[in-house]
Amino acid sequence: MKTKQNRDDQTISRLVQSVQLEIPSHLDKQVDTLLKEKKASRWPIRPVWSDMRRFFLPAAALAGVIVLLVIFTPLSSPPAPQKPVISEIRTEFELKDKNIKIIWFQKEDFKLRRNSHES
Amino acid sequence: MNRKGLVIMLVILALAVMPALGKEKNKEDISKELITKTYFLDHITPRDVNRSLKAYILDVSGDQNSNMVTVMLQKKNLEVFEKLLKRLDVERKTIQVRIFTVIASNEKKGEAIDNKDLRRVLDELQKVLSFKAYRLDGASFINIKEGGDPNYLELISKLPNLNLRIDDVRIKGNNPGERIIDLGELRLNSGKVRLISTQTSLKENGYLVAGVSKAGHNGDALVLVINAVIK
Repeated sequence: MKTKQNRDDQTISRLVQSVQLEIPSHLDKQVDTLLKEKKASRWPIRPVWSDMRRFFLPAAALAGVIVLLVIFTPLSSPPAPQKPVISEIRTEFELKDKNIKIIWFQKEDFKLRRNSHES
Repeated sequence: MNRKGLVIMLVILALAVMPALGKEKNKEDISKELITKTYFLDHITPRDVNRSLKAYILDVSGDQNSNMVTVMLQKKNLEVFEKLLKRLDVERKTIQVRIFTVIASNEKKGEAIDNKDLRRVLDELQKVLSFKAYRLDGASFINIKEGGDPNYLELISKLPNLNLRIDDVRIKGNNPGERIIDLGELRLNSGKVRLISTQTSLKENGYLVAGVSKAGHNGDALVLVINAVIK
């Protein structure tokens, strides 16, 4: 069903097409200038493939490096050097005037004790 | 076979036989240079000879009962060997060693100690160590020879399997009363557990106190008071 607006549009279109008028030259130039300005201001549109190619080479190189690292890195990292464990402390001293030599072996528990009468 | 072939064969035969002849001659030369001698030892054992003069001996056999040693050595070394053997085979001094096994603790009052020498040593220990009490656990005695075989002794103690090993004992100095007794190895084991393993020395008639912490319950310590007298 044709609406009233459609009918009007068709009428106007027929009327316009029936009239052969020359477009004024200044208008033509203005339209050209406007079209050129609009074209220049537009963001350059590149094909998707071009973007992909830009990132493909660095991505492939990075993947290669990762693969090499995985291959050449040993699975288990070498054990960290163990901290030296003290198993014994040997103390030696002499009471020369008493003709006594003392060697003392402190085992495992290295807590220092103080004389009860000193504290 | 012509004459030329015969000559070549003779040369080859001579070349094959010559090294063997040379070896035989070499063996004879060596056996002429060697000498086998037997010695009866007075103060040392065949083992001591082998241990001390090993560098000169090519072969050795010995008998402990007759204290006899037979050695094979190069003739050129004989003079030096006999000189050294003479120096080695001298009377070794005997060292009397007393070992008191003492338990040092922080728990209770110690027991009275009758031996006045030991009491004097423990009184001195009380001044420098932090233990409240000392208890005599046992006393052992051993005679050891200077430079002799390793000495083993199971100490008299309430602690089980206390084994003492004293080895490589040397006396330094000549003045009686001022000599030092070197103990190349002093080792104390409690069963398979090594409590002490050290090299040390003590003055003659002096006292060596060798203590091990954590040897008993409640922070008790095991103390060996060792006295050595040269006879």
